[in-house]
Amino acid sequence: MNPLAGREAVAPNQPRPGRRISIAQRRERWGFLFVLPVTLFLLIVILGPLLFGFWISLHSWNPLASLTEAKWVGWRNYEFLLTLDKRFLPSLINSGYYAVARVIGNVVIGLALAMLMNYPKLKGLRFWRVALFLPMATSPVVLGHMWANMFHKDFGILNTITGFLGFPAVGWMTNPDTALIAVIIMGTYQFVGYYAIVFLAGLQGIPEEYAEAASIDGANGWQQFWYITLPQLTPVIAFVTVMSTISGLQVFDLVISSTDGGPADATNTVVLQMYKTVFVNGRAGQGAAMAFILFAILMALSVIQLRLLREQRS
Amino acid sequence: MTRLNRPRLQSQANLLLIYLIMIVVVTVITFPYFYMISMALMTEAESAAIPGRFLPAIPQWQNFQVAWGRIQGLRPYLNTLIVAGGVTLVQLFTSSLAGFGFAKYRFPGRDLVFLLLLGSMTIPLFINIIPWFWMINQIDINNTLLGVMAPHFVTAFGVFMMRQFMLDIPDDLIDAARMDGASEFMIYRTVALPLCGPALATLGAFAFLYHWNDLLWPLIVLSDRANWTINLAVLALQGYMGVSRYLQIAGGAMSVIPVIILVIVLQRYFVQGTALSGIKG
Repeated sequence: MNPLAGREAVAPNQPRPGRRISIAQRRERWGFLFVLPVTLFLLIVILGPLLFGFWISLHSWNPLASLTEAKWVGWRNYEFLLTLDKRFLPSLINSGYYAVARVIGNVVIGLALAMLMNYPKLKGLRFWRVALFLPMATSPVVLGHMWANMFHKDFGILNTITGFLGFPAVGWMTNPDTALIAVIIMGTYQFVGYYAIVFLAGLQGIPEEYAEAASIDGANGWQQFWYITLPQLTPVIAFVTVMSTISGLQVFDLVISSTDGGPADATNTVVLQMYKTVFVNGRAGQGAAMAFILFAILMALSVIQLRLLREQRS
Repeated sequence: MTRLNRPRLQSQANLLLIYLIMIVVVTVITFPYFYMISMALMTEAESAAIPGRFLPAIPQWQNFQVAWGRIQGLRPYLNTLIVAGGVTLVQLFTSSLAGFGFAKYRFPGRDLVFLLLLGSMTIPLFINIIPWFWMINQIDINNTLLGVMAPHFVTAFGVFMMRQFMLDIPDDLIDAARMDGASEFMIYRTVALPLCGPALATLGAFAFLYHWNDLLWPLIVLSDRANWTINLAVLALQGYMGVSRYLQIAGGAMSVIPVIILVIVLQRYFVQGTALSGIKG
């Protein structure tokens, strides 16, 4: 039963709440009802599990077993991951490399593309934008697999192309030194268009008078870019940097479909390692601890980055 | 005249160069798609040729038919459509309803809940995966499409976006509807919702796309082949030893076709939504 409905039925019999107040109260209740589903969901599906997940990270537990079989281990999962475990920290470093390299690639190339597309007389903006958006809309399962095929040492088309140019074939995906680079290229490819579109919107938001005033004052193209365009875009760049780092550290689909973490764990990422630890090896406590370590890093990163960029702006 | 012409010539050369660069960029970006189709049409020997071939000698169109059978035909498409479509519809409803409540009503605790909701946007999905897995086992929806959908019925970002949009609805309009005797829910449905068309379309387009392409959570929930989404079917096809390269590629290519159509048809909303996502920063 809905407790609010009952109260409403009683309301007319109460001494004298006054008609105006009762309308306001009824409205209040409607407002409350409108946000109730979301509030309950937030508590039950997001915040509750967050606490539960932390509890799991302090236990040793197989996710398929009953919860009563969870054994309290305190901080030992965290200790193990940060000291003895041979795979977790390397996977974290791999994710870090991937995220940082992708941020740089996305910002630099994305900005360059946006500047090109912002050229006043360039036609066909709709076409360029849709083409650039496509990789971001395509399943990483398909793209990762496709790129793995293109990077293949023997059958790969990339080595065919570089072969025409006289370069020897490179075992992109089989060599531990180059596999992560290949994955970074895939990731940059996937998102660069998305960031170009975001930056283009930012560029279009800069009032044209700024550029006009600058060119009247004799600023050349580069000076305009450094002293006008870039500072104006800083908030957008800040946002993209944070988002790209956060999503990059969580890379999973692209890796499982292209290298599955190999060769020799060279492209093993945190979320892939967590997935395997929990759902292949059945160690939910350890996996949860991994998740919380990564979560702490994500939080710290976004706080630091936002603060840095805010200081820069002021 | 001659003095005016030089900068014009210069700017025309610039424009030409920009077109050239853009054409190269778009060629690089779309190359994997064209090559995907090309490889899907190769014979066994061609797809394993060393060095890799660009084009098949004779397009093997029946490859698609074989791959279609390997991924169980229409079934994974329907499953994905149910998941992505279902999540999208529910998200549109919960987001707009709560967005309306947050934007146009005052009640105790409103700002606290809203703040919590904003904060929850920073909680990444992977952190709740293990608890969710336990939860769907408890209520016995593991290995069902509902189990895949359930944790996604509310999106904090969607609520936030709809609230921003609904703040712009004039209060006079709502009061006028009240004068006409409309109930608050009717106001939501007949006044607020129709005014939010573009926002709903943008939110819906992104939600559908995201859940069409989602992998991690469906991979954990759906063990039974009959319930696989298209991504799982393709991933499994890729992982089978002995499935020819061209078939793996053909299966992947088929799974992408609906997305490409979606992006082209709804490009306005995708581009707007993308552009919007940066402006918040």
